[in-house]
Amino acid sequence: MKVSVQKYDPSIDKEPYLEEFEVPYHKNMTLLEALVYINDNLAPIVFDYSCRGRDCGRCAMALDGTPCLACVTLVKEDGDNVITSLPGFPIVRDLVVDKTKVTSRVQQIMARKRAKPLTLDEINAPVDPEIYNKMNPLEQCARCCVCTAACPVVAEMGLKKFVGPTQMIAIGLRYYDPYDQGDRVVEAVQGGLFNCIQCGTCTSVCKALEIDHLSVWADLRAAAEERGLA
Amino acid sequence: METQHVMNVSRRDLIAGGAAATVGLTAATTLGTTTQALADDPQGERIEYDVFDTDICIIGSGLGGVAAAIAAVDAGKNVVVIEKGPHGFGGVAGYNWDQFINFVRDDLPWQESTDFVLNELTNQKIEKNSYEHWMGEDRNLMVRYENMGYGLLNRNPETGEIAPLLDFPTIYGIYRGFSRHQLDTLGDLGVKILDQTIATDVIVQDGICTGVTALHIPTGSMRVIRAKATICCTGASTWLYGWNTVGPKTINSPDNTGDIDAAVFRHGCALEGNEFFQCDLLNYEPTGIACSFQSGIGADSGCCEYICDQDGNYFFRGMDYSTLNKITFTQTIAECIANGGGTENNGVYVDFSSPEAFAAIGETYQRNIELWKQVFGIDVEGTKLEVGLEAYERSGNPVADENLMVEGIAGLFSTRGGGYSGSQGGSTVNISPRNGSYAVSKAVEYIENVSLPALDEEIVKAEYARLHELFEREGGNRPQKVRRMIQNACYEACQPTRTTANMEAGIAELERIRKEEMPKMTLGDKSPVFNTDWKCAIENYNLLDLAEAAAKASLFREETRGHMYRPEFPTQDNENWLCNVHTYYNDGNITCEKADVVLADA
Repeated sequence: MKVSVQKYDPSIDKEPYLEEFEVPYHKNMTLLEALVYINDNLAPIVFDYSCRGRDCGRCAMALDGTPCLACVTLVKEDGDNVITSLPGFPIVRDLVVDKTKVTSRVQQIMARKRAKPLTLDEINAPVDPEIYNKMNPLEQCARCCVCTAACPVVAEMGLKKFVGPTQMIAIGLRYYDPYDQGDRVVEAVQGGLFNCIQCGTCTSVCKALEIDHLSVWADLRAAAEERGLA
Repeated sequence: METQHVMNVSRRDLIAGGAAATVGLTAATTLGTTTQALADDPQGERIEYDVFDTDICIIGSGLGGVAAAIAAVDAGKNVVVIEKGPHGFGGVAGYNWDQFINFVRDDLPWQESTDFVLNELTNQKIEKNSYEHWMGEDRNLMVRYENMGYGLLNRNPETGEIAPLLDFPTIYGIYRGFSRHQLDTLGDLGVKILDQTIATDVIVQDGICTGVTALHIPTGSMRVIRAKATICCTGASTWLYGWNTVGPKTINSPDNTGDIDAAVFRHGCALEGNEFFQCDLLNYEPTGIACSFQSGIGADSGCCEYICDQDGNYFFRGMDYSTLNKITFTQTIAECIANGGGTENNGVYVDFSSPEAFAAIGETYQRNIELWKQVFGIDVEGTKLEVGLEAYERSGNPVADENLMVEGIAGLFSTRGGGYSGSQGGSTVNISPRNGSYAVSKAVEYIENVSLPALDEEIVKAEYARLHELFEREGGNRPQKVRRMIQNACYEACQPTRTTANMEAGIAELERIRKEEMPKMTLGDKSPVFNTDWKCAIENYNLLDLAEAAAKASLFREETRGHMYRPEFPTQDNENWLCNVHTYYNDGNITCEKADVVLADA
């Protein structure tokens, strides 16, 4: 099986280039398996991974141009299998990128805003099941940024006009969160909620299968419209 | 306070080993005065390193490290956290996983409490002190975690009522502890996290730990963190245990290479508990997600009814399940395998022909059933799924006193102080937070009377030389190849079914690797920028030392106890082995000795 891997060492190379390898294929071979095989047996390539299961988000990259998580994406025996770094993020080396422009913002968004700490009584009180069922799936976001890399609006307008699905999911999570006291609707609108074209690319590339991005955007939009923020 | 230091060292010094190199070196100074020194020595190679001065240095931003950092902030101390992973999170806490939170929710005396760690080999002094560190409301992890910005702990989806899985007078347990929110909390508190930074050694001056040396992976530059107290929160070093195609036979992270445990070991401190691991059952196929709890399907002790051997014997059935715990669960499977019930891969099966099996496997596995269908086209319904014992934790930690201070190095604390888990094999998800917090409370007391001595630049130079000498080698295997050898030999010796022949073969291979492979291990990449060959080589020294300690301690303990089963010694032998095993490192020789269990009233 043919696999081409992006190589780039900023201390030497002017720009990234592809190096081709021949990898023995086996059924259900993941992209990560192909990379480890190459790095173990053929030549050094630089990539990052940790959990081997869509939870850490560290192996986000692109296969044949489509952003994906290497751990749960299959290579094709007769495919081109061109592996490049996650689009839209600065390359550190080969397939490793710096995602802090998104992840550090997500961390700030995720910090629950409250005037006073929660008490045990508040925690033990029932919550609206509808809210729980909406919020719960969003916890599965691994912050891998595959959705942001795939987003056509981010690609065209940049993160300043639309913060991208990764950050918007974090805003949505805290919007649903009954313990959060921040104004997340304003945050969503300022983050470019209405610049999103609702194409659903984010959902199609996301491997946290529980997350229904478009329904989150719809809830945020409805809340914004109700307050005249649209 | 962060400063940049510069020193000069010649290439010749590095090749020679460097430790005693003195020619052409400038004294450590702050940036601004060093340019002159450099001009005075045109032959020297310019070496820059960043120095961070702090009260408390925490290594690892995982479950223990976060609690430690918060405790340090609460105590008004300056704190620096070193983390190997990117974006401020690494290891298992950096997985966005649905952590099951369980805790003791009453203030019963420690020895009467149903704590998941307390057992016959536990260091009772550590357990008692750590247990009593969080009393009253502090003990309630629900409050703690929700205030750290977690989501909503598990609810009944119909009523919205909080829905614990365990709700007993002493023990409380609930799903939805997404651990990454802890890291968000650190950011919110303004804690400085030096991420993508591997701690390479502890700095020991006159028997006192004054910080750590570290390597910033993206730039390949050295960092020195000077601290009055250092807290090791690096988790379980499970990356040494076997190999599939993208990971060992463990759910843990590539970050878990036991860097500080191994460094402390080489500084002459004893390790304890090396022979004990903790296991669950997880799939072998598809290979890319084998042993990956995050996307795998498997079984634990809640699913015994549906586990069978290769001949279709449901060997748990008929047992008194109330006596089953994580330890006896694994030991029972290990015994089944020893008696010929194992598959070709030394595995067993989970029988999904009955729908009840799906309910019994637990939520984290259930989540992956749909993923398997979508990505791999595999539907496990109606099938028998082959599963094997992966090691989700392992012990093997520095011997520590009752304050979790490492014995032999003042000022260095370990949240996994040797013996804290006894024969449990280091199951710490719910113990690490309180141990981290407890260690810092003791560190805060300790640093009251401590002032840092001047940085001994010879130590920095020697460490720089040790790390950079790796670039000079030629003619050997790349670090990745050597690592697979270490991992496979370690698995041979340390898998739960422990035949003496396998253990001896594993140890012989580890000794061969140390003698033949390590000295000529050769980097395939010479760039300083994000050089994963280099990182792999540095970590291999740690993995090899810990693997050999684990293998030798396993062979040394001539009985069946904890998770493992030894066919040649098939019973627990309290007369001879109601003791811990301490492992010592002496110039590449690793030896074992029996050590008394530390009792609370001793």
